[in-house]
Amino acid sequence: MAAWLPALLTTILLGCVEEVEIETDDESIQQARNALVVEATLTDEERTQEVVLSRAADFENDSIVDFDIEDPSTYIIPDLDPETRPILYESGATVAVTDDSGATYPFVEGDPGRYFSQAPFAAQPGRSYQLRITLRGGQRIVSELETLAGSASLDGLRAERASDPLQGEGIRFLVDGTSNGGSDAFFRYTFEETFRVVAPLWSPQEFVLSNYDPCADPVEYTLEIVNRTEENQVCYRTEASAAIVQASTAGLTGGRLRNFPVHFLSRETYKIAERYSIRVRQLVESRGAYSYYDRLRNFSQEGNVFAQVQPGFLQGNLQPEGEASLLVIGYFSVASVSEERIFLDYEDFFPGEPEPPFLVPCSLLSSPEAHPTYCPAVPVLGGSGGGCPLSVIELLDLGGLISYYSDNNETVVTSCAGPHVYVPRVCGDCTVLGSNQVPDFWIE
Amino acid sequence: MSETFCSGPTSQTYRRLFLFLAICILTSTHIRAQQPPDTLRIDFAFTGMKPVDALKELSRQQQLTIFYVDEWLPDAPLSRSYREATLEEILDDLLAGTELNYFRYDSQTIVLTRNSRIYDELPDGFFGKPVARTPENDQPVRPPAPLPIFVNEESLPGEMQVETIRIGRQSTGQAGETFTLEGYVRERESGMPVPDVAILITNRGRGMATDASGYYRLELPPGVQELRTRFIGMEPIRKQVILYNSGQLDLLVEEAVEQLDEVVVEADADRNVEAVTAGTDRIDSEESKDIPLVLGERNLLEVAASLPGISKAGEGATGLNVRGGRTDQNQFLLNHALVYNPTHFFGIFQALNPFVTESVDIYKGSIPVEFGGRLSAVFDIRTVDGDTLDLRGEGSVGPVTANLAFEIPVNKGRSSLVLGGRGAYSDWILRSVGEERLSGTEASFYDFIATYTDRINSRNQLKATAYYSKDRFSITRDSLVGYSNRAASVAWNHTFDERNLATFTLANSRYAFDIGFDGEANTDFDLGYSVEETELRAWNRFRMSDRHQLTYGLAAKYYRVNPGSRSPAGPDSDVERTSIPREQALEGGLFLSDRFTVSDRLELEAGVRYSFFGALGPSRQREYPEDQPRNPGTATDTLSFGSGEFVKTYGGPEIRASARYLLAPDLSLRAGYSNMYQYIHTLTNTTTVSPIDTWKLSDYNIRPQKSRQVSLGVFKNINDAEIEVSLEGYYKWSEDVLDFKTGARLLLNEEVETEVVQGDGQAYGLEFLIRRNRGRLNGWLGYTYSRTRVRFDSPYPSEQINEGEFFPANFDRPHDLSLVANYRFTRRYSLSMNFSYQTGRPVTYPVGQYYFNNSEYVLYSDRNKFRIPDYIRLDLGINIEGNHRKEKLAHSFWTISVYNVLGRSNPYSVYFVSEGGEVKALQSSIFAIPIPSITYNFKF
Repeated sequence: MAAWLPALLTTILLGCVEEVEIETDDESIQQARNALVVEATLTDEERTQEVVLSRAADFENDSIVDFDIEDPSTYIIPDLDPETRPILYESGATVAVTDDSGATYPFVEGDPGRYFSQAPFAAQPGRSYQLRITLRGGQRIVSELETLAGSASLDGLRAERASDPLQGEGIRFLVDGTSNGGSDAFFRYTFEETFRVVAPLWSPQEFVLSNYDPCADPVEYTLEIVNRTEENQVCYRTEASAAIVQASTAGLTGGRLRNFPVHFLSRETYKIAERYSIRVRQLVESRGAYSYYDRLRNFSQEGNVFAQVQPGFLQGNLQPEGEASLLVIGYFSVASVSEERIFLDYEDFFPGEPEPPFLVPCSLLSSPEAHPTYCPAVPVLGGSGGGCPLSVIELLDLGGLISYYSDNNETVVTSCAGPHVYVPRVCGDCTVLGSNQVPDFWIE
Repeated sequence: MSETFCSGPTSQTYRRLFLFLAICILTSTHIRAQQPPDTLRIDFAFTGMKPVDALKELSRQQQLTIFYVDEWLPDAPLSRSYREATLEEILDDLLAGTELNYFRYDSQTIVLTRNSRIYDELPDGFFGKPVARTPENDQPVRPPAPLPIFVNEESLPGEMQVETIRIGRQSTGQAGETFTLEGYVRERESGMPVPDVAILITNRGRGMATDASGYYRLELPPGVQELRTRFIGMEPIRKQVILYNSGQLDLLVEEAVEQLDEVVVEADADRNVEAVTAGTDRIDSEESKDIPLVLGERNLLEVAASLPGISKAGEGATGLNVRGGRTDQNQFLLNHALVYNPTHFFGIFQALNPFVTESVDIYKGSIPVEFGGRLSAVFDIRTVDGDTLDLRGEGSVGPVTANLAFEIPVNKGRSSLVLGGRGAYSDWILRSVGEERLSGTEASFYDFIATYTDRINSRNQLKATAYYSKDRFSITRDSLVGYSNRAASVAWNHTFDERNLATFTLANSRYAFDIGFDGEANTDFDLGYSVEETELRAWNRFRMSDRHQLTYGLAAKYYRVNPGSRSPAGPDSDVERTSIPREQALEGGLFLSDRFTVSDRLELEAGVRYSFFGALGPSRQREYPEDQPRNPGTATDTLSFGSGEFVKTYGGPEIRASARYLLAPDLSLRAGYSNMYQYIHTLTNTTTVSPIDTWKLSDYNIRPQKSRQVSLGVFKNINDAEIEVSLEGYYKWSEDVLDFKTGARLLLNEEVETEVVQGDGQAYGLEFLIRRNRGRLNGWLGYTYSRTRVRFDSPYPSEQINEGEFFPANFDRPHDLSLVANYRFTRRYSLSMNFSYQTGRPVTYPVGQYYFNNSEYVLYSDRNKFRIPDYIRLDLGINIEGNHRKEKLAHSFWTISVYNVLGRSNPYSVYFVSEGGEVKALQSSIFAIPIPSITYNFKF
């Protein structure tokens, strides 16, 4: 077979895909800046309800933060925390929910862009609700009238050992959902995972850097190694689900959804290395909300080379009042919620089998404690580091990227080795990943 | 309409009797062998006789039967004396200076012909009793016109000038040598051989009638031959043939004003390319073989896309866009049977066997009345009639497929079976490649066609066709997609008499696809979809008079759609069995058109088709209030319809009108107006069409699409039709074209009307074509400037696209330039090229990104605001013919071609993915590198 043929078929079947610059123009930038994102799901739970307002980011103002350090894999801590994301929250808005009885439930801004109801309240069956937002500039946005679309029970959240063609072996979480009304129920599942994280290369001591002046010659600093004062070996990390998981009982007998997989955890994930808990919330939403999320999910899936889903602006149920160039993203949904939590241990599912690896590869590292001055009187040709990694004091100064492990008693032998052995901070300090407080709901 | 087929005795009996007899004269002797030169020498003398009387005397003396009209001959008395002269010499002399020719059938029968009007008027008493005069044959005989001889000729569009055909290669023959010109005459529409057509060589006084198989053979001296055909009920053909050597000339005769005479001269004559009339194009399968194409696969549809007004969304986009129409607005008819998707593998290959395909007629302007149901274009694909005498075969071996076709005589001289098969061996290649990225992918396709043509007798011909094509591919690891086309038809042509040619067709077509999903453990499913239609059509062409030719008939179609079912695949699947109820509908058309020759210069074709559609129960349809957006929550009622009950009917008259005015013999203007209805639509939510788009019938909530088109064009032939130039403009309005709410779910959606929006469109364009038909260098240059914009407006934002403003359609590509050229170095070697440039397709870009529900999403705004980069591609090919030695068993040729010589990666789509928290724009191209291929073709 001619040599070009495989290449040719690859070309035909897979196409040639290359990255290109994203074109943008002033109008698009303007459009993006004028897009308001509304996250508002009113539930039938008696609690403080929440509405989050933010703005879309245009590509000119791409706010993705990245670290430019020589070997990012060693130091980077996955930025999984929504609070630290560079979201352009919309502050100073007036938010209220009204119902068809004339009642108004005002919201107040807590954190920037996050608005909480002044008093706890629950959506009532049969009542219509409307979300009303007035932005700082006076622009008003109202939603359509929404009601609770029935209720359902969440039965039997359970986990089973399973395998997935893409993720391999792991644990699958299944639910059953039963519609309480006669009509079709549309479910959206969100979940929250909480798991114990144990820093794999924890040490009872830590570095403390003070009096650091990199410009002094020689560099001035005080580096102490002290006993840790707070718990940072065992923590608890909580992650909210990001995926859109939906199901409906439409077309199912008895309005009962069975064995629906809400989540799959690869056995390779560090999340299940220790004890793991998942709380699944089942939201019964209107068909409109179901359809909105369904489309949103459909867009974010990659099609194949031949069939690209036609994208476009997804119109939800929120509209600016009057002639406005504002695009409103999101769907004001009123949902009946039921939830369930389970706990599990890795050993229960994979007894005697190797534990999953930690989030990042953790290894013992060493580098010189200090570095030559940044401001030499006579310029030094060819740099000052001698090709070694950043020094301990620089790494600490950059925001505590490392954790102390031990003194270097020939533990790490390299040409750059210094007096200390350290580890990426995430390997020695679990508070990078989670909280050192045991959650209230935690059951051992 | 009750006498649709005029089979009973009518007041036209006499006329028909006359015609019948006229034909009988021609058929009385089937001259198949060459006519030996009449060597009989005779003596003949007269004095002071009128030529008429002289002829009478000659026929009396020589016991000849001579047919002529008294008025044709001059009145001036003559005196002549011939000694030992041949009859020809006498006649030549007698008729010198008149515009009369004669036509010798056998030794005792001679027909005098006057250039254009021969068999419609014969002397009174010719039949032994007076012929009843009717308005048609009561026209005054026109006064003799001066030379040139081509006077009083019915001008056809495209026949503004006589085409010149060169047959054979000049040889140093001796003076007086004669050559043989032979060939077949067939009816273009049906491909039926036409017997009894008079083939006249007007400048030589030779003539001949075709035999039962349409065959003729003439012995002619070398040089210029003015060839004409005469057959009542058929358009005359006029050709100038320059005979250098013996050769074959096949003629296609026809009737409709939209169509043209075509000449295919085989093997040893220069290739001819037919002219183009307004809104009509024709592609010959044979012609397309020289155009370099991807992977050496002949692709008529790709050639079609190089003509003005026809474009593709890109490589890998199934379907063609004709004059701003969506891809679902085209009708691909294979011997009258609809083929829903005539392509393989995402439109890269055609699903038609190139050796079995004779030609494609493309109607994009004024569509003839006998067609209906699609707004933009009809692609009328015809297969060859098999050879009824000898077994023939043709095949090719290319890098992707192998093709084979046979023509098998069944009943010698009468019927023939054509078998064609084609398959891709890519699966085998894929397996042997072992490339990691290709594991789990699969792609294969094949198609098969069988046609049986039986010329039962001179009045009846039957053609039966069966066709099947199948594709299977798997691009993602967990799904396998297959689709198939099935088409079958029976066409019966019946000649009631020479003025009534009726065609009956019965056709059945089915398109189906299935998706097998074998993914996560309990969600495996099989999804199936199919659409099937059965159509009966009957129409008659009635040549009422020289000035009027009527076409009338009816069509009835029954649709059945299985919109989809999903069933669990495997015992572990928890997928519920779902099935969307079947849909059925009737579509009908009653049509009548008149081709009216107003004058020599002006010709009209005016037709009307009453189009009707009824969606049939059993069905449940939802009712939505007018004052609310249509979504599943706003349905107010569900209506139930019983089996066979009309759910909703639509319909209306469709006007199909066109006119041609000759400004000069080689310059004409054409104008057309038409409006159309379409009741079946594809549902697609992807930017380009894909094979798993479903077809949806109009129903209670989904209205038919409608369009109106006006066009005006000017056509000019230069240098004896060597070069044809045309410029044509159109403007098209569409109503109720379909699109979908952003992110619509279309498969297995019972309430699909809630995802559909219907809007209007505007398209306009100017199409320029210059084409050289002869010479070493031939080909064409086409350029189109066109715009297509659509608007989806509604009081409800959820039913608007781009705030209800007009925006460019996905296939709006303003500039479209194609250059197809073929240069023949020698008889064996030729070089061909194909260059194409198109403005990039509109695309929807994201304008930003946002966080929602703990995840990052891309914000898209106005649809189709940006464009992907322009498309530029050059292909080159070399064709090497095998040598032409006659004793060789098989004739062969090689095609070596390079697709996309420039190696430009023409983007097919641009899409956006979120990777590592960052949005990336990815551009995909299907053929981003030059792709060489070599194909071996053989013929025996």
